[in-house]
Amino acid sequence: MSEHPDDHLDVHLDLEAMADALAAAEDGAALPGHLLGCAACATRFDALRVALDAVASDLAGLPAVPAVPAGLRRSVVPAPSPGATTVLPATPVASLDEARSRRARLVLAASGLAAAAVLIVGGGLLLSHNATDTRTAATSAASPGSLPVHDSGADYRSPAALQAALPGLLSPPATTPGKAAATTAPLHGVAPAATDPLARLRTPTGLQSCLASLTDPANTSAPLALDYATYKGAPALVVVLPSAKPSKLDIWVVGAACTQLESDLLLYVKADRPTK
Amino acid sequence: MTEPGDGDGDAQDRALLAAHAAGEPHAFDDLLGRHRQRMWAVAIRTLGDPEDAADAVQDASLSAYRAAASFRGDARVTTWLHRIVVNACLDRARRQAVRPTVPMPERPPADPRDELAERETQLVVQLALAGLPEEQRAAIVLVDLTGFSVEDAAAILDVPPGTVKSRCFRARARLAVSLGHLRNPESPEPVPPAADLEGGTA
Repeated sequence: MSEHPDDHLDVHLDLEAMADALAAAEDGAALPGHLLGCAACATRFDALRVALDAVASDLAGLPAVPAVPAGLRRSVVPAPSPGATTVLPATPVASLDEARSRRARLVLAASGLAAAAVLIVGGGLLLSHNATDTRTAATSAASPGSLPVHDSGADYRSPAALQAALPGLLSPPATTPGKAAATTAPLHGVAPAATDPLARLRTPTGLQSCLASLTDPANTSAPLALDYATYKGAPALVVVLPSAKPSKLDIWVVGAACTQLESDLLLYVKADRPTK
Repeated sequence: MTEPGDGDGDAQDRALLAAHAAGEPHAFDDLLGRHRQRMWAVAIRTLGDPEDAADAVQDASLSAYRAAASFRGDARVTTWLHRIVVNACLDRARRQAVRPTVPMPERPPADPRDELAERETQLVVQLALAGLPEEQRAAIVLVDLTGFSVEDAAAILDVPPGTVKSRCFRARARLAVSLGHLRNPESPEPVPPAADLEGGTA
């Protein structure tokens, strides 16, 4: 039997007190004084310490979490009512795998687009795309050197307007003298005008920071088009990205304040990929 | 790879919530898709029974959808979502008896006797988990079984990290007894029943 040198040690530690002592000890706290004077409690405390290793082993031996049931992959979003305004054609509900896959593509878009931005500022939009791009697999697949970067200045008023503009956005910008040449000038190494609200997003660092709020750094594909424009009158950058379904595209429209911390998102839509 | 809920992942989550608020019909499903696997893991580990777990995740998904417009952004989106899942699981556990089950293996075992013994052990562990006080069960599921940090679990459970740590250690100690790893014939006191051992001190 144990002997307690002090009266206050007469009460043995119960299980939860011992558990709390272990938790505190993990943070460097001293063990309760009772354990120093009570042989029975000290023995039980040591046994608990050993037993917790066995518990950890038991928990580790639980079977792997089963796959998410198919029923949980169905959309929780109610279908729009017949009279509701639909700005884009309805698309099938994205499955878990599709969503995961699309997010993975978004991840890649960040690195790909950043590389493209470097190329753009470094030497021209249609410059050779094998010069400085170190993210070879991802970005070469999407040919960032030929990434269409537009400076249309168009004022998109709705997702439908973006859908309608997609064929043009996915094509190389016009190279004829005039508007196209003038509007793409800042992309060719000329310092962005101070009065341009989108000036920061024309720089590689500004663009990369903004895209980081939309994408994931480990991305494996590249964006399909950019357009410096406005959305409902507000300065906006339109980013077109691949979607999980080949027949779809993701369009992100962000405002001038877009940074890595805040996307300043104006619109996100899934659009039909234009047929050639 | 950026995980949903970390720094960059949270920015993406917030962008999707903003898109949902702006009326983009797929944004909320995309958001759930980023977190569904872990939401499911929390539910199946908490409830044990796949049907109950699926119902809890579905309840939580609908609750999150309804509450999305009122999300104030004072927590990470993943914290907000998993808090809803934990609450849905605990609500369900309170309403009905938990029926722990162990999923059947996908491949036939090399030795059926070993497999049977293993499955019995797993079922015993599931039952022991189901016997924990709910606060302790939620803490140990998040920290020990689904890989949340103590700090993240504390945010989900809306308690201080010290409380989560205490609940985890008390849960492990209780499991040590219920799983037969702690048998001390010199124990000065019998282990009190579950109802008397509520954890939760910081």
